[in-house]
Amino acid sequence: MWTPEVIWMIVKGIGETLYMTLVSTLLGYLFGLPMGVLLVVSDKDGLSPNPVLYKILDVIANIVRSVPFLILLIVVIPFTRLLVGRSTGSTATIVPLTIAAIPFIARMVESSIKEVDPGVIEAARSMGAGNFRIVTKVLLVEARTSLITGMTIAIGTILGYSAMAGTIGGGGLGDIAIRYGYYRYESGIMIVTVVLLVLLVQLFQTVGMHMASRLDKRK
Amino acid sequence: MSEIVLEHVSKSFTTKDGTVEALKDISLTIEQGEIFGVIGMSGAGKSTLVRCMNFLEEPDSGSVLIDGRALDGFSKKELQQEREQIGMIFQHFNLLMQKTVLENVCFPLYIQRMNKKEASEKAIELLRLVGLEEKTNAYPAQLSGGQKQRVAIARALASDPKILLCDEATSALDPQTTSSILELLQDINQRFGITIVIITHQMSVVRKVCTKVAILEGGVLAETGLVDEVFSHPKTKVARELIRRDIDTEAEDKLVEAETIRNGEIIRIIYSANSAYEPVIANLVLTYKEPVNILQASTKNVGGYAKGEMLIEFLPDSIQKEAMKQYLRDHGIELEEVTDHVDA
Repeated sequence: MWTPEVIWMIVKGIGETLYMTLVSTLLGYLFGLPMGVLLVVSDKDGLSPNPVLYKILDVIANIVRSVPFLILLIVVIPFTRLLVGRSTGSTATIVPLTIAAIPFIARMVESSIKEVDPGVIEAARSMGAGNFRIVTKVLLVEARTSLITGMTIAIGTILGYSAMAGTIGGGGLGDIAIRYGYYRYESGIMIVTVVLLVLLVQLFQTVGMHMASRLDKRK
Repeated sequence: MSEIVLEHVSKSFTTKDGTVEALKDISLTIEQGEIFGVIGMSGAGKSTLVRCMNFLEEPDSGSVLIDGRALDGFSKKELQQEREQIGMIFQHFNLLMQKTVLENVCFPLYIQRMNKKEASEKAIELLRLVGLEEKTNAYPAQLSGGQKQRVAIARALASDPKILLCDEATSALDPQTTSSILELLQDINQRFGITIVIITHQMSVVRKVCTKVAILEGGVLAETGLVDEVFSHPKTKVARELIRRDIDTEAEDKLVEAETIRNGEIIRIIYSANSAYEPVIANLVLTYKEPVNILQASTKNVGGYAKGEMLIEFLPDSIQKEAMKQYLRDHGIELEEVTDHVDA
């Protein structure tokens, strides 16, 4: 069973999983971070309250987050085709992964930023800081530890979602687990892929927590 | 020109329990170079008042003038520029916890687009001024409360403000640290001529450093004037209450309790520097051969002068009390009748 081809396939699977997870996380933050910041800023107690904007973002975040990922995966297939040209493989999977990640990340960012002491924001305002500067120099800096912890959780979740994409030929370790373990009853390969997935999550978690605590200057 | 002028300022807040009028028609003038105290019990509107001075809170009506220019006419940009001229320190210091002491002090300088090198040089100079040059690379979490407030003061001074607003700046500190922070503020006031507004609920703070004081009660300006005046002749009940609390907290060990005489007339006497050296009360008793009961007594430093105050009770059937009062007046002692005295 453990032929060089199988081993190579698993190594490739790890690579694909990492590729999907990390690129989706990156793209997720590219859109999710500003969305989370806008949610905080436009909130009624925010720096620049804007009920309409807040409601729109709030509803988008809730709708996307309430659609089960497996269904989202299928629903966005036409959009994925339009964007990538195909609906299977790891690059195609990045599209639904990112779509699911954005509102999830936005909510994480929102709750991290809300932990920042309002007194510090007031102090910055008293010094003549504008909203942009307060966001970049106060909110994101003071919430740093919490943001990194949030990112660790986001990576873990996206990694889990990427495995789910295996059901529709999404590539990566999840795909292998389903094709070999589920369809061909080769439980050995399935166990190996599951263990690898667990190890990957463990790795990200450890690195993330270590970074968060090293960067935390509050103690 | 007066530095800070408030004209008929009112402000209310809507909470889920209804509308709260935090400030009602406040008019106040603070002159340049003054250390001005605003005192009141909690909920009196002090913090709202000070936030109106830099427009962190916008008044509902009335106007705030800084150097004769009304803040309500300012654009957002102009307001931000004006705030650079008005430093502020807070009860809970409000430092950036993830940044070093040096970076905290540099923060307002970065807002003014000063480059990193110049900002650091200036920040180090300011940290030297507040006595924290060794803590440059420490993080706020590694500092004591007093040290954090010193960093906050250095940060507030970084933009060379002409006004420094202090919102309960010593309320989270112990008495010794409070004294040292107040001394620093006084030093800054004298050295740079910065107008300082001190918001507090402690009369002792006002007494130690302020030249003028405004007393707030329920969003209304109850009394305002020179600290010396207000302290010697409080006109309102809230002023008397604040002074009494000051006595309670500051001089508990000096407090002399009444013994057996009851229901006699009580007067409050205030004596200043010169009369404090004479044994006036002892001489009074010797002259009139009639005892008086000392209910409370304390001496304190008001703006650098020794001010004593005592509550004296005459015998209920005293026939000489008018003569005795005159004796006290003749010896340069101010007195007033106390009708609302309650034993603490």
